[in-house]
Amino acid sequence: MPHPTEAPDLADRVRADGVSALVEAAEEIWTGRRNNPDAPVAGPRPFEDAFPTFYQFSNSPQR
Amino acid sequence: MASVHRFTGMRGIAPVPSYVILQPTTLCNLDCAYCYLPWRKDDRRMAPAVAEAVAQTVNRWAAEAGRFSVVWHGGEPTATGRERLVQLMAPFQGVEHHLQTNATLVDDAWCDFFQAYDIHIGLSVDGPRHLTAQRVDRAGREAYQQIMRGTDALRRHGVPFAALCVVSDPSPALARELYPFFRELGCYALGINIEEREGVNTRSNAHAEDDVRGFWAELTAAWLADPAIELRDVEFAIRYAGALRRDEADTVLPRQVDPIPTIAYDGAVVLVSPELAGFSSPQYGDFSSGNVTSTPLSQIVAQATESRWVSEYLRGVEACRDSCGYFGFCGGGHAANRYFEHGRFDTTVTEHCRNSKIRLMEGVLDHAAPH
Repeated sequence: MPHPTEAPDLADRVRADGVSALVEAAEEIWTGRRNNPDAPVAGPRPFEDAFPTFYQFSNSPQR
Repeated sequence: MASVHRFTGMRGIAPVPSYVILQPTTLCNLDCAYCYLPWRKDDRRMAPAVAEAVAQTVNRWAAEAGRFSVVWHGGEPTATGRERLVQLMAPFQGVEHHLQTNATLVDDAWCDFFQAYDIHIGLSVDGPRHLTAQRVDRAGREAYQQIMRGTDALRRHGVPFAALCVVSDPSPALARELYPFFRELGCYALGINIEEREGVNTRSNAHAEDDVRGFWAELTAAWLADPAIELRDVEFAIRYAGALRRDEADTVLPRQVDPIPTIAYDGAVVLVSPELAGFSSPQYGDFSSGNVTSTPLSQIVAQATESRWVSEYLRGVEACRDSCGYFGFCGGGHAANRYFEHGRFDTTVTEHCRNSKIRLMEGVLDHAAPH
């Protein structure tokens, strides 16, 4: 019994300039972690490191 | 709905999970107001023979995988005691051990144990004292000081820990208060669980949309200003937004649903949804797909879809795929949320979806590009 879900315009919303800036800022943070092993977070690693019970939310290689 | 992609991931059940969850005891020394677990007053402990049966399959999976996790989840795992935990962990080879704890029993000896066995620690705490007030002992006394003592021990010993925070009443102001707390706490990662209506917790989890979106937007702002913590939910949303911008959104989720075997203290296996372990219903029975003391875990997983409720859940995932613009981010509403909110598994959007998937994504985007 599928029923429509609100706001199905994600693909449009992520095209906004502000989102581009957000993604770039985040990628810079992740690169910074990778390059600084002494930082509290040593790099962009799979979320399973901290949260193996994160269900399907994973950035590990997809199977 | 032109922007709804035809996502191809999350079809069927994967034959091999990436982790298993084991319940070393049903007992928890706390009695948190929002806890979903039944039997948490009882100390029903896992026998070593159950762990040995699980390990017979898990060790083979681990040998074939790049990494494989065994997650000790309660009850409160430390209430099992170190001696029994060592017995339970002994049969496993080539795995990462994780343990989710309320930290109230954690002391120097536990920290030595965590380091000796290279156990990854997840800490359950909900923020400053007044926000952790729902975490109480059996006499109704706040557990905050005990939690902080355990956290001090982790820091003192240099044991890295991630934090899981249950949020009962999300709002922008709460986000502004929470992030600095966890920054000071010393966790390297933070996951936010907006309280769910499931199990024996029947409290409503419906919230005003603006409050929830504002909560996530403010967390995004706080993280960008001081990104020293891995902020699980927000970072995953940003990763997805980036993938969607590159037209790679269909590559984010796994190809198949992870079966996530949860092995209860007595060897009963519940697949897909750890929160269903220990429950039963007139329609679906006890949700168990078998018991490792009589059937190999690999066989139980291979026969996952023979379970009536698992098949119904997979139909629900397909309904989400066909109807929801957030499917590529979410992968379909979680089974336990469908059941405890709707009474069945083939429905679609839940309040949990709204709070922790849809409004998460919208809140992150609100921060970046307000409507």
